[in-house]
Amino acid sequence: MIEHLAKLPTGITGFDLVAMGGLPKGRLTIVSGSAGAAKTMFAVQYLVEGAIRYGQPGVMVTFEESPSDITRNVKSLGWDLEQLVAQRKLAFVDVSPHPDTEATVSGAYELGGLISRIRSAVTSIGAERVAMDSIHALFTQLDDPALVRREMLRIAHGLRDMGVTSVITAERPIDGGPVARYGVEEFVADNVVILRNQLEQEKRRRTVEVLKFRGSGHQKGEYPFTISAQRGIEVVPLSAIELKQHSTSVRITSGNADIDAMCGGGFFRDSIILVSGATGTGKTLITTHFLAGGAAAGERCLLLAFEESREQLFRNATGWGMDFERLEAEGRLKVICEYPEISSLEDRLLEIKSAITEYKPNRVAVDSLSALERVGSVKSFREFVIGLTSHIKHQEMAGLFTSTTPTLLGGDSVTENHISTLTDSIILLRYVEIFGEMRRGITMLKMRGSRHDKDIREFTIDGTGMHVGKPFRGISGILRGEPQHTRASELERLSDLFKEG
Amino acid sequence: MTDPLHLVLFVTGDSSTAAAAIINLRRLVELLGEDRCNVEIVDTQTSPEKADAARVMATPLLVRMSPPPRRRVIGDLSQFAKVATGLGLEAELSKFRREAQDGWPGRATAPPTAGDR
Repeated sequence: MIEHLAKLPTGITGFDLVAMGGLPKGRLTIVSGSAGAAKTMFAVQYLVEGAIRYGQPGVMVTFEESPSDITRNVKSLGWDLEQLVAQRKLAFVDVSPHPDTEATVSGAYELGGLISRIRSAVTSIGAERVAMDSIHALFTQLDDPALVRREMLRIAHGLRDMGVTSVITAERPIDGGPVARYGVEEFVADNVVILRNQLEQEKRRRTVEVLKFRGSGHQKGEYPFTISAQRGIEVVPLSAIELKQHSTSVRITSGNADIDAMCGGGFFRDSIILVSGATGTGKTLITTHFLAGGAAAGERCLLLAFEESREQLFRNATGWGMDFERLEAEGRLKVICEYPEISSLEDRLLEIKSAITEYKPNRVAVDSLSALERVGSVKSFREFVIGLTSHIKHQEMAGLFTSTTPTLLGGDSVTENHISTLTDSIILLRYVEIFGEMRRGITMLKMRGSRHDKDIREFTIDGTGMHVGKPFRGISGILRGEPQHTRASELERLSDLFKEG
Repeated sequence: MTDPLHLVLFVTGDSSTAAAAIINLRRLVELLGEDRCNVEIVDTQTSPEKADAARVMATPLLVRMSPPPRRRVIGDLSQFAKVATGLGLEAELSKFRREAQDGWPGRATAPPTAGDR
């Protein structure tokens, strides 16, 4: 039976969600990672956030880097440690190697002096947080691993007596190896957080995992994070964690009366709509309707475009009778156009979230998701899609995403495989070959929570946009990309099969 | 006449290592000549700021403050040879080396105390 220990929020963005509240309060957590995994940054950020965000002073015990080195290194993140020290929100206990402190060993010793210094620092500023970086450096400075392990246990007990919530960083030789060198996990294995920085398909991927918390809960598995100036480590939590996703039954226009009719009156306000089809089938057109319709209804609309240039998009819109320039000038439309490759998916997600926070749209369109698919690994992409859809739903906005099917007549797309369970509505666009002519078909494959048209209808495009017409009759296999014409007699036979008794 | 040897011994509380270090330090002072030495014993628990200034980590810690060279020895000081070299006092203590073996010359080894090990 798990008792529920109190948690101390770290203040590190996203981490407290993964840790379901924060670190176990009053305890020691080991933060382990291979070289370059951002362990020291985690430790420093833990103290900085504590001081600035929660008014909790912290003590930094440094075994490796000198306080002045650490201070200098984090200046670029906008953290002024000197100021925090002056304000008595931060204190250093400097145990870094120094020429003066080289010593010969004669006989037995223990680390009581260190414990005294830590206790004194904690008491003098009333610290509630302690970070120690890194245990590996302590082993390096002393020659007796068994002694260090024993003394670390004493230090852990000492910290607990002081009532502080502590982290200690530890190095693991390689990702996927033991938690830390020197068997450290034997004695301080109650709470373990692992930071990884792995090379995956030629891209670096940073993740954090709460391996275990004794006596309290946490999310399982790895979660990606980024490091940025001013905000340091930011963890990207995924949809599994964002619990408050209630849906509304309020309808909004798709911007096209025919499509509104097909889906029982319009999309739901906080829904995710996927529009899928081969190149040229009309996905951008539906996106354009979506944006123009929203703007006309007084909504703020955000377009994230990764396929076409701004000029092209605006020109297309004009060709369909919709004036994007005017909408932009009136502040009802914001367009962000970028090459997909310039950011990693994790950074991209943060940029998009930033743009949403800043502009506060009512609806968001992404054209296309497929363009972003090639930027990262399959895993990264799935996490990106989950993170984005979850964020949009959480804000109660409508999101429309386009996805390109790989072949002209149909087939599956990777994007669809990832996103289909997350979407509320799916619109499919297909070319239909009829007796040597390419016609176009549209169908509402899925519309969660509403009756919707089940036919595959023919549509046309002209200077005023999309017009949806009559359903295709006598043709099957359209969605599969192999339209086959059913003969009249066959149709009769089929309808007989389904005739009610 | 040479300057007095200024030594500071940092200990933590009254652990057995502290007690042993103090005994062994007394022996060192005896061998060097009491008028030669200036000894200070600092408890890190009661004077943590002095421990900070001296960057103390492990205790017991014996620091030779002056005259130079500045040297340090960690431990209960039970190994005579290590203390001698560690403090840069081999020359002055060399006459005792033959008796020394590894422990302190001229005394029976102290009985092992029940330690906190």
